Amino acid sequence: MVANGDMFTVQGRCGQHRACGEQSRLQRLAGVLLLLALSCALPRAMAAGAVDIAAVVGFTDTFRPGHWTPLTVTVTNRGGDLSGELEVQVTGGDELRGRPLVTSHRRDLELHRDSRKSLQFTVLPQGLAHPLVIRVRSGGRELARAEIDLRTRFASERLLLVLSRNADLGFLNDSSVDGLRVLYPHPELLPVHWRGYDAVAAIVLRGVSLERLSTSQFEALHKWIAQGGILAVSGGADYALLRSPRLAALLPATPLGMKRMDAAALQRAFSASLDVSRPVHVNRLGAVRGRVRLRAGDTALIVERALGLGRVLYLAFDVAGYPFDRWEGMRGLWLESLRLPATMTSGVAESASPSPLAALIRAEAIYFPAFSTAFLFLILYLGLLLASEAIPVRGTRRRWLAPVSRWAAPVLFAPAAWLLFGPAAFPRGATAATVALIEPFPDSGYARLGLELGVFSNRSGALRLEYQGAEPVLYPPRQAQREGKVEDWGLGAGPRPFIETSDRRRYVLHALEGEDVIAFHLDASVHDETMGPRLVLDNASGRTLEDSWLVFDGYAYELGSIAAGARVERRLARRTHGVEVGKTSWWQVLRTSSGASAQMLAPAQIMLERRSRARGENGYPGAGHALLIGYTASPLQPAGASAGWPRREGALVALRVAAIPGDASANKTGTESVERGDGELGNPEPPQLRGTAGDGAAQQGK
Amino acid sequence: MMRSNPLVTEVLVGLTRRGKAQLDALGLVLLQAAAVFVWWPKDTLAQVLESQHGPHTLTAVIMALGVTTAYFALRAGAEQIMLPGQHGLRDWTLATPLGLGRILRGYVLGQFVHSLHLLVLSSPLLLMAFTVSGGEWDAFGWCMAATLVQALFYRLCGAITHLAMGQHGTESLYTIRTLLTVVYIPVGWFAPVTSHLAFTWRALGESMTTQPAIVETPDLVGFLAIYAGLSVLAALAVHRMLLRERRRTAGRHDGAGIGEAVAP
Repeated sequence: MVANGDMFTVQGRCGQHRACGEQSRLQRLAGVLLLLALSCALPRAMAAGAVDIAAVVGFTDTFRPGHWTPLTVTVTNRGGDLSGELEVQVTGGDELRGRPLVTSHRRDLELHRDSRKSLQFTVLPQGLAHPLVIRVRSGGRELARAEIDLRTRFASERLLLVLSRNADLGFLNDSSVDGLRVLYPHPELLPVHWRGYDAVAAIVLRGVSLERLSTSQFEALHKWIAQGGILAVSGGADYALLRSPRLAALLPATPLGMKRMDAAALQRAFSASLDVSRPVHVNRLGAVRGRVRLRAGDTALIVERALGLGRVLYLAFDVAGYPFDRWEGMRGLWLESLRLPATMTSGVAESASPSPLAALIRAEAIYFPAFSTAFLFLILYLGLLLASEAIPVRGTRRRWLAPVSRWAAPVLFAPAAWLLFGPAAFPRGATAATVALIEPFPDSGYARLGLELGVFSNRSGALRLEYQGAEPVLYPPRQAQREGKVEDWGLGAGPRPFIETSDRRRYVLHALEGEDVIAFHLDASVHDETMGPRLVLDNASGRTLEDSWLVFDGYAYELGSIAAGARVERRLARRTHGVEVGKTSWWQVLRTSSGASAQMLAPAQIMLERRSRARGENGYPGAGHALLIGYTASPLQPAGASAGWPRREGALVALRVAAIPGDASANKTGTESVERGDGELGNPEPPQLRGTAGDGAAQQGK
Repeated sequence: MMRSNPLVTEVLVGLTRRGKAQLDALGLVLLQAAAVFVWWPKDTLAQVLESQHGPHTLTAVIMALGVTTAYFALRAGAEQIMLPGQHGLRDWTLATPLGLGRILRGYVLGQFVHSLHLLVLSSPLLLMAFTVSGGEWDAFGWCMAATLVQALFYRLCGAITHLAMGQHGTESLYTIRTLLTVVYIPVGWFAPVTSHLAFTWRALGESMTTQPAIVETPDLVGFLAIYAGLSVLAALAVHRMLLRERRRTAGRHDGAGIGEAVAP
């Protein structure tokens, strides 16, 4: 029994061991598989849960619908290293007219473990109905997603930004149609693109140094002022801040020290209602390079300078200090000094005119391989096929030729067809087209860049254009939106910006409009003299101007090519150099030698007319003004993977200057000033025109 | 496998010889050339971009190729078009001891080779159209595959017609024309997934708008699957008919003669 029992036990143990062995192997295998699965799935799950998104829309989380606004997205990574993409999806467009338009702004995102990064986008939220959707993607997978409800973050008024530690300008808040909303953003969160200030009416700076801004932030601020922004800087005891390089470059005067002002002088300058019981110190100004708008005796209190189309004001006193912090008239003083325009124009202009891109492509006259070539090719091929049937290949020696003769024609003609109708005559692939209008701002070194950007391909598939040279904000043409022909776009920001359309159709022109402010230094003055205009031109833009013309006082003068860096001074006589033109017929000078027929609108003309209409002008360049035009290379160029794309481009420089009468100083730049009759800026009264020329007299021998 | 099958060898040899079938093939190429002609883009690029509709040259040529190869395959199946030295399916069944499976395999492969030959003849036209129309290679490949599978189906349909009707030329011709018209127009209209025209339009035409080609793939696969399935059914029907023919004439054939005919 024992033996049996032992045996039984042993057997039992053996049996158990075998069973246990198999079971444990299976368990081990299952464990290994589980571990493998976990090792694959866990990092992804952890990564997905370890990424947080936080976003600030506009300034202090307040934005104005229908205007470009900065969006600061902060991504926090608590997991492992992350390499992916950050995407902001903005849904807009008119849903009653067509489907909503979805624009995706994308940036590459590299984040180490336990780190965070803030990235700024410039977006255009057109309405409040759709939230902004922010995603972090990696390896084709969504790691995090956040939806930003816009309904709780908007302001319908224009924005007034106050950059100050403790100034309170709340009295400027006004909820009327043309009202203001005063916001106090942190200077370090200011836009990195000038268009981010689209909703901003003015900026007030007090006791804050611009040196704290990043290079791109300061450049954005500078460009915004140049294209029409208003910066008001408050003086104060800490005037050393105002002598820092960045502010010194912008300010219309330099603070030299402090000056004591008595109450009577201040009350005479401001108002009797200003309650001054003790002397007040204001900044003593020197090196004034603008217009003094308010003074007390010989002391300048408010100085203003035009910078491009914008203005910089320097208030020599502390706007938030004694006695101005308690003065009721401060609101009036601010509004009078800022002189805010009644309405803000949206960045997206209505455009009912024909597309300049279509005009550009028409002018280039690109054709498909000729019908006659195709006909000849087919006849040859069919003839050869027929001949191979008809010519007898008899006899044993040439029997091997039979299959050769049968297939020789297709074998020869197939590659020939590919080469002849493909790479040789009609290369396959994508093409970029740009029409640019560059309008230099006076006295700023910047120019407005209006852009029409198009891509098309003669084959189906994804289209992605990488570019460089400009950083425009891009938006679909309004006309396309009205017609319900909107398409979704992906816009890449960062070191290699790109545009990408979701429409894969071939032979479709995908167009975007864009705006930017670029560095472009071109100064000119036109002096209206007895025999004709005298032009002084300094081309420091770094670009050569081709086919240049000066249009002034009913005449067009051909200037030819103006090299980069050239300084030109030319006396132009109406009789010998001028071609008589009319108010509308002067457009003829925009046709380059490679241009198309006279019935066709030149792309540049369409752009100029559009700008002229947008500004409500009639008879461009207008009485007392001269217009200098010339062609140059487009600032926006395909780059990276798109560098080899064929391109069609046209860029017109149009500088409009106020003419200086007769014998006025030849060295003064005749720019448009902010305010007519601003003597300190040297802006003279416009000259009297001698008569108008007929439109029919526009013929010229180009 | 191909070279060892006498039916395939016969097709390969037949393709190198002259005959009426080659002239018929030339006629098909001529029709396709006419399609190239008519649909060749006559506008400038600017006009095409303005209309947002690319040239339909490739679509037209592939549609023409589909129709013509289908017609050609039907007539070849009905043995109205025979390559020089080629023998009929009934001859192979009744006059040789070859297994029906081998005959059918050879028949199908021979049809495939013949269709490829027609594609080679059309290749210059296809490439011409491809360059100006701007198609994608994968869509082009789908269309070629569809043409081949469809041609196989029609070839087998032609064979069924021939085996059912025998050598009645006029009736057979009307039957195959009716078959082609019915399948191409009413059936294609009511069930677009079975239509080669709709298939080509889907793969190359305007419906390729905002979605990548891969999204369209299920429809394309559907067409191929349907025609492959129908071809299998048709092949089974042919097999059954041939089997019946062989059984009916069992013991009557001496197994000689065809080998001599096949020999070059």
